[in-house]
Amino acid sequence: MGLAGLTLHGRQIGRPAVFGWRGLIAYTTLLGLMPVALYMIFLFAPPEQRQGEVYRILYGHVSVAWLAFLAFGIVVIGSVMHLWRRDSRWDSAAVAAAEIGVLFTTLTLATGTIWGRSVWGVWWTWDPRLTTTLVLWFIYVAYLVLRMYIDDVTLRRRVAAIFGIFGFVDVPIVWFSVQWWRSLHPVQTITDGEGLSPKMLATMLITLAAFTIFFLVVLRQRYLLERASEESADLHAMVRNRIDDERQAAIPSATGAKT
Amino acid sequence: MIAEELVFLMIGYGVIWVVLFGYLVYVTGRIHSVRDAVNDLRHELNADRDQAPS
Repeated sequence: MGLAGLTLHGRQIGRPAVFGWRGLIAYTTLLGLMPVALYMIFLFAPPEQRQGEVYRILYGHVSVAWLAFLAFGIVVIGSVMHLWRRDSRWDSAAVAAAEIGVLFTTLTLATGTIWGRSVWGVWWTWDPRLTTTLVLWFIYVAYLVLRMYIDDVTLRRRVAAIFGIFGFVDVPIVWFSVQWWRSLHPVQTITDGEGLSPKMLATMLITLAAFTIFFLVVLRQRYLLERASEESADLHAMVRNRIDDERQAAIPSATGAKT
Repeated sequence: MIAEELVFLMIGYGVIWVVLFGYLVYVTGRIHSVRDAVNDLRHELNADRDQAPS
């Protein structure tokens, strides 16, 4: 019997995930768009009147912040779909998005502190936007840690799904924090439709597009890793079951040999 | 002043790219190692199946 005949939960196991034409298009677009984005950030976009050159970091900062929100939105969708459909693939999508969301939130905080050090003169201040973003980071780090401490797979997936859904409550709080409370943080200039020159807006959109493609590429890779890890865990379980079966089968025959 | 701003700018984008590409390389490497482990397990399972008396 060949290897291809092995199936698990109705799907073929060990099937390699081929990076097909969509991956090729994504990588090609990314390699083409990134240099354009960097050119626009550093050379095309004009300096800002009050902040000078350092404001250019905000193109990257805003992009990673938006994509962190998108990642946590995917966590919610994956969690809801998993609770509804009981399909582990949705859980894999949720955990992949959560990890990438934490990564992008880390970058948001890191680039924000670098910008704040230059413009505000301090690395950190307990501003509402910064504080709520830090809380968001802690929520999804807790989501990832929680998954490590529940051994039962079904329970882990359900608890994580519920946690992931409720954790998203902080996202609108982060977004509206600059409006609800007195904040040093700049308000959203793009969605408000003011404050950006056409060159700045074009740079922002190209940078966001480049980061979005990168986000999709890394999300797909992380999803594939999660599926491969699950497959590995399932195969280990199969091996353990087979060993147990063989032991069970060996006990009566050994007893029979004695009598 | 501009030189200091450029240093902050370089640090900011340096952090972004090092972290993002580092993570991508790490995840891709992990996929390969997990797949190798999966393939080893599959061979093990099939070898046992082939040896088992029919």
